Amino acid sequence: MSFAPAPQPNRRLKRLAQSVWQHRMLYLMLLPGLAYFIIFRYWPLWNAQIAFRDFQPTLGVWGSPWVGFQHFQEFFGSYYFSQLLVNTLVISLGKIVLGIPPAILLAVALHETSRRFLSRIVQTLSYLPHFLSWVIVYGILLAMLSPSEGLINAGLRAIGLEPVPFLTSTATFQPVVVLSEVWKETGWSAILFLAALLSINPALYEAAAIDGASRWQQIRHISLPGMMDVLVLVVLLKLGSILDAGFHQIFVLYSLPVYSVGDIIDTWVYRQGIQNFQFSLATAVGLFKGLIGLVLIVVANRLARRFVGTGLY
Amino acid sequence: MRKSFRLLFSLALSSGLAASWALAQVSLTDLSVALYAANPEAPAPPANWDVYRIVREKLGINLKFTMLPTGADGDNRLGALAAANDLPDLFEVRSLALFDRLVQQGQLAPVNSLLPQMPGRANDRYNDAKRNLLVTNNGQIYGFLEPVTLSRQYGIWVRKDWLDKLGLKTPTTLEEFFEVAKAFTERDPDGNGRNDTFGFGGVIDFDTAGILPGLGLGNHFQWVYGAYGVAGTWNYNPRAFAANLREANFRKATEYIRRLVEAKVIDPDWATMRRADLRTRWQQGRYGMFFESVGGLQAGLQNFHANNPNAELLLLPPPKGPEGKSSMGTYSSAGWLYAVSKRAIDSGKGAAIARFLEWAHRGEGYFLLGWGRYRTDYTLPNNVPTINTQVPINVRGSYTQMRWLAFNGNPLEMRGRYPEINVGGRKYVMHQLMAQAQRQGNWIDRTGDLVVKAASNQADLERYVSENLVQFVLGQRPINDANWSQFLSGLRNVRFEQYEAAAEKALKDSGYLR
Repeated sequence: MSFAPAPQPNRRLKRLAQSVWQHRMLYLMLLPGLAYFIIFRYWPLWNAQIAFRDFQPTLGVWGSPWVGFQHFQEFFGSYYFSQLLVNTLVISLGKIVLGIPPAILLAVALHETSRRFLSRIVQTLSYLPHFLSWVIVYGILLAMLSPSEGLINAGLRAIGLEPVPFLTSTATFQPVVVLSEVWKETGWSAILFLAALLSINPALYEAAAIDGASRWQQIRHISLPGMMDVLVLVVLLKLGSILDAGFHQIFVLYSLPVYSVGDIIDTWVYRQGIQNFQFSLATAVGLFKGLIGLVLIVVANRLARRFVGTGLY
Repeated sequence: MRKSFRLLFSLALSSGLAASWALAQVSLTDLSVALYAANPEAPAPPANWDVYRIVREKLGINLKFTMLPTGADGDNRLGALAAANDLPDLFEVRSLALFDRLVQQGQLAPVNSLLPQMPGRANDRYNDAKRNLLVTNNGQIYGFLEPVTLSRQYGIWVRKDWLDKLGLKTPTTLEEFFEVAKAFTERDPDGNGRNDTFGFGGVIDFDTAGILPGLGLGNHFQWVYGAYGVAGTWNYNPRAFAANLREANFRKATEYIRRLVEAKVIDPDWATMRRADLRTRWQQGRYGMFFESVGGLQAGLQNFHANNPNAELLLLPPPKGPEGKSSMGTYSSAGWLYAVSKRAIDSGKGAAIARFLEWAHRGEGYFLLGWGRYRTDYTLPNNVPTINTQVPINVRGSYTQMRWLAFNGNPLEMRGRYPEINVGGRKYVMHQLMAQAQRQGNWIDRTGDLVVKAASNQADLERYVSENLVQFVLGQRPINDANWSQFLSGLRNVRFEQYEAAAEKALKDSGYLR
């Protein structure tokens, strides 16, 4: 029995340097991305310690006094904490559950159509709402849903029904939030699924067609399983940010009558943390959200690997 | 000989010029000033603005002016600058919560030592000890708190042409107001055959410019609470101090607003509309009565008369309640607040700040900052500065973005800022309307409210009160004994008693509650 001698450290270093030099262009391309993550993602983590301090700008991050978990306790002790958490989760889950199927449907429909020109027009039109700001979408929603001059309420009045205050009723506000998000983002979300469909080997469809499979059977047994990796990826990523229920959207759409169903963690942080200049509190809530997101990603990834056979990592 | 003399002379001259230029450069003080946009509809002053040159040449100040967006965006921007320990040298503060925090954090400099360096301004504007108390901490004054230049400028405007058409009298009581609002909603006052008008237009608005909204539904409904004697947040009763919402009349006022909503005489979008939406709609001619400031009216008259050629507006006195009480709302006698950063004082800019503020107080500085370019933006008929309304505000406004530093609110100034306007064949004397709004509104001075510090859970507290009231008014929760008791007892959950106790102590300590 013989053992190969372990390479000397300087030899290993030399080999590494050679390898780096050999792939220098790849490393060069990696640099901007790496710099982005270091500057904008990892460096702020250092400043996240203000969540445990009473941040005083004149003393700086390092010089501000420690206060332990005071800001976390303040958040958990808020009278509205449970309501904020429930609203955030309901709206977020609603967006995931009701947002993904239309995107898959749209992707499949675009993939199945034999008229490329029509497909391209539909694709472009369905992307457009993604580029509208929520302020503009609010204007559109008001024009549609306003009790006094909204198109839908004008229709309801025309058939003798009472107008519905969609944006100020606790019964309709959450559906409006979720459905307006679905309308705005379905086209954009379909891109990933469409890319997954385009990566499926066409030979599979040809073989299935020769074997007599109908279009529906091809979709069910080839297209949908072919999208599974991407679906898992999308769901996992969305779970990671489940406590981000869409600050901009809610901030523009909500009003006092619907706070009980529309106030989410981020809008509370804006009012209590940012508008009252309690940056440590805002950071503490941000850390809390990040931690929950991390736990959900890890757990969901394990479940996905176990039951679906694929995962994020 | 002559040649060498010339050479020597030119050398001496050029070195002298260079030296004076260098001296001027050395003695220039960089001064960063950040103010909320005085004219949000106009851009910042251009780089070649005369003020920059004059201030540089006459005061030795290299002025850098930054315009803050109005409203919460401006507050947040200042908050972000504070968090980065990068506050401007001289800046305006509109959020008292931010002001208190900056004082606590030691980011503001006491300004006591600057007052003697600007004797004219200090004597005319900062010699009110009671007002200074609002910005005093541990015996030090932490800001220049101006006397108010504009307040109580709001009112309820009524369409007189609609009243005449329907044969109605100007409402003077809450009951008459209700009947008129109902008629405006149901009797097609614009005669277009469509059911598209409303009796009253108002929104949930908490703007604090010249008015103090108090906890609850905001500025536009204060007149209802005023009619029941419970306008504002606190009752200012030294024997039984409490929040007004604990009074029985507060419930009655809320019930009255519920009546208006239930009868559908208020625009059903009121709870979600912004102030800009309200303005669009009254200008379209959709409301028989609406809540608006004199300035807001002045800005919208052109559109209003274009859409409603035969319209005529009247300013309504606040309607009287069942006990004969009336008030349009509460206001503060404290005006704009300017603060100086500690960094500015530490780097020796105090004298430059005093120089600049004194210059802005009167004479050349006052006119340049307050009124803009002479004969372009304003004229001086009979020595009364009068704005030139022919120059659009989005042009004229650029040159008066720092006007609040200059204005002092004297009657001549008001005449100039709110001139006579002829529009749609009608004459509006805006400064007279302003005086009328201030005089007939029975406004209640609640300057003391400003000494009450924000609670640590202010957002929860404000939400609790406002949300519950909106739910009552919209009918989401019926107003009955059980629900109202539940609302009042629920105040405990947001630690309202502690807030009340802190308010009482602050008001007593400052002498506003005796």
